[in-house]
Amino acid sequence: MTLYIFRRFLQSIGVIFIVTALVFVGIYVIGNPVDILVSTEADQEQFDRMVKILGLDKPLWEQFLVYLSKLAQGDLGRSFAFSEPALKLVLQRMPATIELVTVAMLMALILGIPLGMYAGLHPEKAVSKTIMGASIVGVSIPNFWQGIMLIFVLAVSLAWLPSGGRGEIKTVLGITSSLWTADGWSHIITPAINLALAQCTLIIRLIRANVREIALLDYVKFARAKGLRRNRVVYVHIFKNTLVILITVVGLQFGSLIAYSVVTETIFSWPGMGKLIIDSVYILDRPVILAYLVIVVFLFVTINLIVDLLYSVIDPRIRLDGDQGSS
Amino acid sequence: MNARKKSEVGSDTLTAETISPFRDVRQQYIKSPVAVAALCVLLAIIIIAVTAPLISPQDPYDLKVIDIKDGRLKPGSPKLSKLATLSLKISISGLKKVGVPKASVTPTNRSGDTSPDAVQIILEPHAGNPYQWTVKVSPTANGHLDPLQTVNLERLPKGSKLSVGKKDKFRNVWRLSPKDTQELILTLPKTSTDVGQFRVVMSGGPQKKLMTYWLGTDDQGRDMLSGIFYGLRISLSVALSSVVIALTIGTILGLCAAYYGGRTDTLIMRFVDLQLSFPTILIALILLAILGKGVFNVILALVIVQWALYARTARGVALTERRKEYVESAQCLGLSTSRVILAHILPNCLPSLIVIATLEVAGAISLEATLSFLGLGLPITKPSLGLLIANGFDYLLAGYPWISILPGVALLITVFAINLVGDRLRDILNPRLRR
Amino acid sequence: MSGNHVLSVRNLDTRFQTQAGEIRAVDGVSFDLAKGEILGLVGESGSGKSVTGFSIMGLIDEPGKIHGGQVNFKGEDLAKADSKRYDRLRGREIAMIFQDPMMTLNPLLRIDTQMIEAILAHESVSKTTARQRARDALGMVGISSPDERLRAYPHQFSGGMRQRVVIAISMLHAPDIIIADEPTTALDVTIQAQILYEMQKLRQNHSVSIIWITHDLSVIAALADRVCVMYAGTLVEQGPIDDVLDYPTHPYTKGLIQSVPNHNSTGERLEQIPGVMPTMINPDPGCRFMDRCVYAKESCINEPQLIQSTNGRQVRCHYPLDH
Repeated sequence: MTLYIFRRFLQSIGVIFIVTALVFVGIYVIGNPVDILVSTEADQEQFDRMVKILGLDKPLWEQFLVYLSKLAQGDLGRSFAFSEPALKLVLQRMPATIELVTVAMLMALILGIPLGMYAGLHPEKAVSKTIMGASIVGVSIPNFWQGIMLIFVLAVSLAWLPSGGRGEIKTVLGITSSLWTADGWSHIITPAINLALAQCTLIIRLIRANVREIALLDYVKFARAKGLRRNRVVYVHIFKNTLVILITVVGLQFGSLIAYSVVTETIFSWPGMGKLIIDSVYILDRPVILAYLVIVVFLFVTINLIVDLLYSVIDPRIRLDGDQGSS
Repeated sequence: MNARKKSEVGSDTLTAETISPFRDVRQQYIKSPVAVAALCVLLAIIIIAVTAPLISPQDPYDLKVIDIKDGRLKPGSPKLSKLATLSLKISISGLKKVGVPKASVTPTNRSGDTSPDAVQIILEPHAGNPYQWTVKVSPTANGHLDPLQTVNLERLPKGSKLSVGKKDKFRNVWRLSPKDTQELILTLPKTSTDVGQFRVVMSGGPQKKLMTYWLGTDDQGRDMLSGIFYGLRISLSVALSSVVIALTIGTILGLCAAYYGGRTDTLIMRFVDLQLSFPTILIALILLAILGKGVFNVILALVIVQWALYARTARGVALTERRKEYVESAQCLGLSTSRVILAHILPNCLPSLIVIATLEVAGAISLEATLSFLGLGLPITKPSLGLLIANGFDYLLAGYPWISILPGVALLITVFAINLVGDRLRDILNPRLRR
Repeated sequence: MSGNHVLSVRNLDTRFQTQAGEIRAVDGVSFDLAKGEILGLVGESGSGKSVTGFSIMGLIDEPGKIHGGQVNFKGEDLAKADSKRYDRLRGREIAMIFQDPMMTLNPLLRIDTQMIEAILAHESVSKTTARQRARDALGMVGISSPDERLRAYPHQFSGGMRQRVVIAISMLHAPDIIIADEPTTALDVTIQAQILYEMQKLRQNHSVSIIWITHDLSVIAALADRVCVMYAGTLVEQGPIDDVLDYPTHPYTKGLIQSVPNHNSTGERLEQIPGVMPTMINPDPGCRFMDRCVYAKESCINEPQLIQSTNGRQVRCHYPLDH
């Protein structure tokens, strides 16, 4: 088991290394690094100075080492727009994004799991068919347009909720978040719904397909043959097996949510990492883009690792793989 | 011996006649009315996209035809021909002299189909008060300005008063409505000099309906319906190109990985896994940030985001098929490697690849629209639906929601139809669900 | 006739509604099962034997339904029982064993969980008592170090041991009947022998009746008291095992026996019954075996009746073979 964790950990480091190397290649080899790291408004003298300072006149492998060492120290350059260390900027915005993404994921799970299980256990009923039909529509709606429509309905036509921005933040128990205030909630609901709906449809479809498959398997039939009550059959046997897939998907989807928050944050003017990167791309603030990339890769790799570990906790076949031989 | 027909094969197949796979798929597909409807919608959309320049009521990118004054019109509004205008300078002299003051009218400017005699202006001084005049404005029988739409009196001397109409708060313009012009009384200020001068600017005339803006217009006055047609054309062609290219590249790589195995396989699959573990939108975003905007870059980004999916599928099927006996026997017969791959393994990959490709077209359309919406995708010269929606976003809160909503509906219908078709194909071609 | 019979099936008719039509999987099957008797239910794939077993257990799901007939168990017709009755019945009075033990046990739950839940479903005893009973049950089927085994997961067992666990589970409530659906098909021959031995022990020590469903005649020959031969959803022959094997009266039974390679006939051609089983969708009237029968005559186009003969033998044929 420990061997397994260790192996996965090494793999994660490897991935981070590869991605940072790719980024290095992309910036220093393919693109013109000077353009990227120096503001385009510098004149020739400042230009030459910057080249020296950034060490761009040194051989490539030396630059790579410098790059790596700077990376290890957390120095990813300074933002052109804000004149602050790029990494610090990104990290500052991270909590807002995490907040949004977490609320969205919870919403999606709370709504999606029961609906998916119902549709899977009773596929013939009209309600199930409606749910499935709605889920295809849900998958098809472009996320950004859905956000626009949500604003139109909730903020413009009905005027129930604000059309953008983040609410008041408070610090409780050392955690600073807008979720402690009612104003915070009124601001987070619409963007969270926007993120959640797409996830929800995915979860519903996944759980339904899974439940349908599992319900046909022999061990479910055997459980019934033993005379177990329907509830126990459903919750213990069917659901637990669905959990395996669910955890994998939820974990992976967290990454996807962080990605889609880019669009949602832009539409709803939510001050998170996503909005930062879009703004940075517009003005070509490349140090910030780099910092964002590094942070996001790091997050993804961590999430993948956690998912793998959880997976092995739930499925004993994987857990005991290294220790005991199977039949 | 047997009077009745031979029994057919047992309980799990229906008939022994051979049906070509294509006909079989078609037969199965037709069984779902929803899927058939989706396919019809999809075909309609494709036809629209292909014939957009022919069937659009207006070329939304031809600057000569666009009138910015037609901006932000509601859906269903008509496009009316331009009004004719005429402006006349009026000079009143002899105010301080004894006797009857005189008024002279000189045309100064006109546009559209008018002549100076399209309107008759009569100015009569009041007896005993040279500063008060009765003014009558009426369109004449040659009708070029009939009916009158607007009548403005501009540059009246300061302190003048009119008995009807409204003075503009900021500019020296009195706006009259057409019915005011029957008879109005102009009172010049008593301190005015011998000559008073002002202008009458009129517009009017019959208006023809040139076309109807069925879906309204955007902020620049472009017809939304035409814009959506062109947008569909661009969105669809970009998405399809990317899918075709990615499909080809991905399949080739996947088949190579499966067939050559070993290090080629590991190398390719590492890339595939790496790529598939990242969300597509982030990859596309970063790529476009590095490469910049442009059609080619967008297609490239879409291809890079997709190829791994095809590669993995092709490899998976190829690996399964490779172990099967017919491949071994083909090799025993001495067929060359490429022939084995192309003629035997590839056809077996096709069903899964087709399903994925169909669904990916929908995904590519959606992704491209998202990128264009964010301003990172196609340039303004190639406006896709995403760009249209982005343009309209600012007007959403201002009371002109259709500019953003309608292209989105078109996008939704397209993606929805493709997803339905792809779903149905998947149900048919996926062996696991066959009972 | 249900005097000392624990189960009495009469004209069981189970159908499935599919897109292709109505499949009559079990069409007019009748047999009796005595206390402590091992009854073999033999037939090719698709003959309806498994469906018969599931029908008795009430595990026929949509789009299938028991269309008609009776399943008389302890004076009650199970075909008309509601789900509450079945919940109490399954596992306690009638138990079932499936074919592939790897799929029968839930891979994510430990053995003890799966056994204890089976006990607690029908009796409210303490967990410790249930655990003890589970332990004893494992010992009864010959599994050593049961405490360790209880804490293990299914994938840690060998195929034969898994099946023994499944048998142990089926015996937890000392049911009257165990329906075994191809329990040894997925196991190799030596393990098969062990399982057969366990079943025989069960019958001996506990007088449990067993319905053994299989396509393998040789297993039946070794184990069963009586045999029912099924073909295309109908029961074509029934009787004491030795009798039927030595003197088959239905042409299909004869063909089946002849197609088993046995060591007396090295060098001879393997016999095969020509053709394949007919479709069970809207079947043609008359004898189902007609198209493959070498003895078929014109009148076989009419529905053959059940012919009873002495010592409990039945055959459904117009021209049963003479001996």
